[in-house]
Amino acid sequence: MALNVLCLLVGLAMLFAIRGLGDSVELLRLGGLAYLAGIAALTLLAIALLVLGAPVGVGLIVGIAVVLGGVSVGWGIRTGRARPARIRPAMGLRKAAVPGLLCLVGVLAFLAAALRAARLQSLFVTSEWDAWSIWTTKAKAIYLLGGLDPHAFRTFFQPGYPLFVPTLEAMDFHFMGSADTTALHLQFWLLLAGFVWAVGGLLRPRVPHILIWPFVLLLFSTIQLKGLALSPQADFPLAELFGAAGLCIGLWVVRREAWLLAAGGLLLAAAMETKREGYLFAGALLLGALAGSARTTRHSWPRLAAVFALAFAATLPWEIWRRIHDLAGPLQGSSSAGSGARLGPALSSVAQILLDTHFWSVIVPLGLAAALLVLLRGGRRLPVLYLTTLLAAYAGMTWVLSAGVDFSLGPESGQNPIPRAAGAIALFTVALTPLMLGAALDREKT
Amino acid sequence: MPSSAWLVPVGAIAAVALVVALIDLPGTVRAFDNQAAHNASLSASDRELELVRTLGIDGDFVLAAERDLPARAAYSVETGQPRGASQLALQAVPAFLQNFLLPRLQVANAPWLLCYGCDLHGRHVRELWRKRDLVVAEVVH
Repeated sequence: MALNVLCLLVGLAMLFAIRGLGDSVELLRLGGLAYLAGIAALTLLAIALLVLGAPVGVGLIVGIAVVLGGVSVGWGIRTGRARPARIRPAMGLRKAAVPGLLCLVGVLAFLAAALRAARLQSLFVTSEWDAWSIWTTKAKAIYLLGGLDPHAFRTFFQPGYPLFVPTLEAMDFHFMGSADTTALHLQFWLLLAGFVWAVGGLLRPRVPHILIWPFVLLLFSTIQLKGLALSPQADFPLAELFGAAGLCIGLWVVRREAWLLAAGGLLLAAAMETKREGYLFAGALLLGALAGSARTTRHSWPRLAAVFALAFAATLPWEIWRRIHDLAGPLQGSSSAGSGARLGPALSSVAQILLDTHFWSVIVPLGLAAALLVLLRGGRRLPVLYLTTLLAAYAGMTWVLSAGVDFSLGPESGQNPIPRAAGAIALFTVALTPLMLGAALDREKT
Repeated sequence: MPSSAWLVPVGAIAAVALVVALIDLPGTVRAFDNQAAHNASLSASDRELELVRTLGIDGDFVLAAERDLPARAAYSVETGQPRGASQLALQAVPAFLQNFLLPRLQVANAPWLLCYGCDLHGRHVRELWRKRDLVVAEVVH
């Protein structure tokens, strides 16, 4: 818990540095984004330090948090950012907000139920196979062996996989004082709650409650969420980081506030360092953002290119380390040999996973409907961003499925990675659909 | 169309999301509640060995390996066809032990051997623990 509070404080300091924090309500509203940004920044720095051979323990993590937080606050003061003022007087409750706030109560009730399940969840169950065979094995190795041991990593399954989740878990172990894989589930509940908080906070007050929380409830109702969201593996953290990053970039395309681009870039770097699919989705989002801002290419495209390049550069320390130590990379094993014959079935399989209610409910169909509605309304930027990202991700996932000859093409198969990977698109859609619907009511915001 | 006219399609999309969520959510919450009740019924040691029970891996073997292998030992895992073991268990044993026994490292031809139904005929080993064809042993050169 202490680590997560530290991440929240560091994230708030970074937000103060890049945008200022007007008052306590704003501080509370952006707490979720701050938390995710703090997690992303501290974990990426910890990976860089691990690569350099530093023994990343409690002292060093607190140290980098203090330095990062201090530099951020100092920068914010130096540049005259708005400081949090005293708590704003309570605002009256408008009748129109009541249904939306009831949905928010439902969201909180669901999170409470998920917390009860996560609190004493055993790691060693068959549904968490990857969690104990890949992710926590690496985390325990980092924690128990005092850093990155290439000899140990060579003995692990998929040794060259991105290191964000094992590093975060190892940091948790240090703060807990033991490799407690039961308590570790709380970290993943906090990430889920942080994502929901970040989305709600970024969308408010421009988007009404009634357009935000039904989509979060819809996410909670999906069959995929039950098995993934609280499990100490990388699929859902990738989806949460990418979803929040996509919302930041989407808001930037509409509002042009530089801090949104910076926050989106940081979250995107963390997403790329979480799973190999992160690179694919980041590329899709870059295409979407470029297309969505096509009318302002001179202003937007260099900034987008710079932020995405910096985000990619943040993943290089681990990439260099794994190459130096000859650890099999995440893309090794893929080939185009089988892709020709598998292309048709892969296209169909990925489409089914995105659109069939059995996987991610009606999230993507509703996202498509919202995008078409905004297009009919005459808005361009958000729907073009969303549809281009979706199309590029669809093409990318199809390529992965068709090229990976070991993958099963059947959507229901456990050997098909797309149902889990598509979570990133589902959470991106959950974050962006309320924004698009809000924009449909106000053409100026599209 | 005036802005207010767009309220209907926007509201319809949000309403579909809410209705579908309300239909499916009770099942998800029930699943979490069942999971919470199950978790609460287990002791800490039960939780640690839940997979062992689920897959049918021999719990005594796992605990003997944890007890008898030195803290920083390198060990090998060899599997055969022990009586009563499922294919899933045989598939899971190496990965499970790799995680469970850290910081000990699992390597080929190590000085310590965890034999899960493997053939030990002709091998020079000093047995530390045995239960039927499950053996924890030190390799003797």
